[in-house]
Amino acid sequence: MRIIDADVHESFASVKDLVGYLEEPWKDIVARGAWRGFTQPFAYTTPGAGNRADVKTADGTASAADYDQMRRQLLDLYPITHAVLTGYFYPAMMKMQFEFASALAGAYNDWMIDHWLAKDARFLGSVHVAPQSPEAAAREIDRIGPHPRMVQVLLPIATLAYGEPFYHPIFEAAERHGLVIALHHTTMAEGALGMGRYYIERHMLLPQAMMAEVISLMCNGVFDRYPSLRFVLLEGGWTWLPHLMWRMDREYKALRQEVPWLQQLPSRHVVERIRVSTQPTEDIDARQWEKVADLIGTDELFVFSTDYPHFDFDSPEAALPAGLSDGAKRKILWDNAARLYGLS
Amino acid sequence: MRRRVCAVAELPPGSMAGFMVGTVPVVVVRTVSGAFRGVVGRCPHQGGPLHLGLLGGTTLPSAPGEYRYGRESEIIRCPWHGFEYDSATGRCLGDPERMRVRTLDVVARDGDVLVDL
Repeated sequence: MRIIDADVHESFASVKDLVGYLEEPWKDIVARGAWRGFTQPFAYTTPGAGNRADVKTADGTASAADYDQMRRQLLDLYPITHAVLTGYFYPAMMKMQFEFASALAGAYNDWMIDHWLAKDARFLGSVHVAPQSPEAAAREIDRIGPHPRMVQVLLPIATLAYGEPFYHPIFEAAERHGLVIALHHTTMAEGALGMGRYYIERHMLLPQAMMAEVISLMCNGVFDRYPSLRFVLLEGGWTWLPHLMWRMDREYKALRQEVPWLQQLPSRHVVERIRVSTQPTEDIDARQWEKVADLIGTDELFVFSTDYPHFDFDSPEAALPAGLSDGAKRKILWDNAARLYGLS
Repeated sequence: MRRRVCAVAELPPGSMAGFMVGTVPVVVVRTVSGAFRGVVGRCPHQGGPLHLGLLGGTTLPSAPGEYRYGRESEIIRCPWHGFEYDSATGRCLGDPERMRVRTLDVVARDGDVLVDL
């Protein structure tokens, strides 16, 4: 069975790998270590410190930045027909120096094209932007978006609510180039009451941040204003969709006067415009999966993802529960993502 | 049937190692106190290779905000999702009623580590 993996995290070994792709004054800043890159505001408590503990060779030389290792452990092993690269270096996390953030996003895109897309025809790319400067982000989408292997613009979830009209230039640019909008959390993502006190707590909260983005996009009319844009929610879960669809529809019927730009029931926008990656799917059985899909009203929203090389990797052989029909599996592993990204 | 998997000297106290015995992946543990234990080395969750995970202890039950660490070198953690397995019982610490790996008898004899399959 062919597989499209919608969430694969390529990375560099060091932020200094970007030096050759930066212009001054940013190049010197990174070259002399005046900025050391992002770190997470917590300690990973997993055996591999955020990655699968087996993403290394016996001598410890290979890492998450190693293409050959990814080929052995993912692309050739299962095998994957297409892998959508989603990075994990997100300048959207910068709280200041937004021109630097924009420069980093551009440098990362060029580095990623050279060091990942060029190495394997199975890779598809995400355009990285610094959404803190929407005009600069739009220029970056205009610059990189036409690359034939770029399929989406990645909007990282930190603390920005992307429904704000401030971000319109990004959506306009994505629409211009026929790119999907992908949302993925960062290490700065929070739940409604913050990050919590523990890593496990924050990890349980991540779907809240994704739900908040959907609500923001919905109520601010992004789905109506950009009718050809499609969205994919990566690694935010999906079994919460029935609740959110029902809740948004209920509120819409009661309160829609306030948001007249929202022109149809929110659940219809969800079904027509949003796709959700499967990883991390909770450990549910086939009957439970089918029940939730039935509540959503369609099984055409799910796109398979592994999240390689991160610790909560979903195996293509084991993540989908035994007992799902071959037809359902084919939609998840191939059809739904092929339609989203225009692949054949 | 007892099968030799390695020499005792190759398995220092506080370490684990993985072997294929026929078609069965086996993880052999030697605890810091000298006990030899074995489990089938495939995580029942998603099939993660347990021998590439971590052998260590675990946090023992405690009050909120307090940490007590114990059972050093007795707990195998899957390299993927970090599920913990008790090398003595095979049970998953997070879901002991429903999840377990099969345990295997392991003995040290004449300098060799033998696994009973």
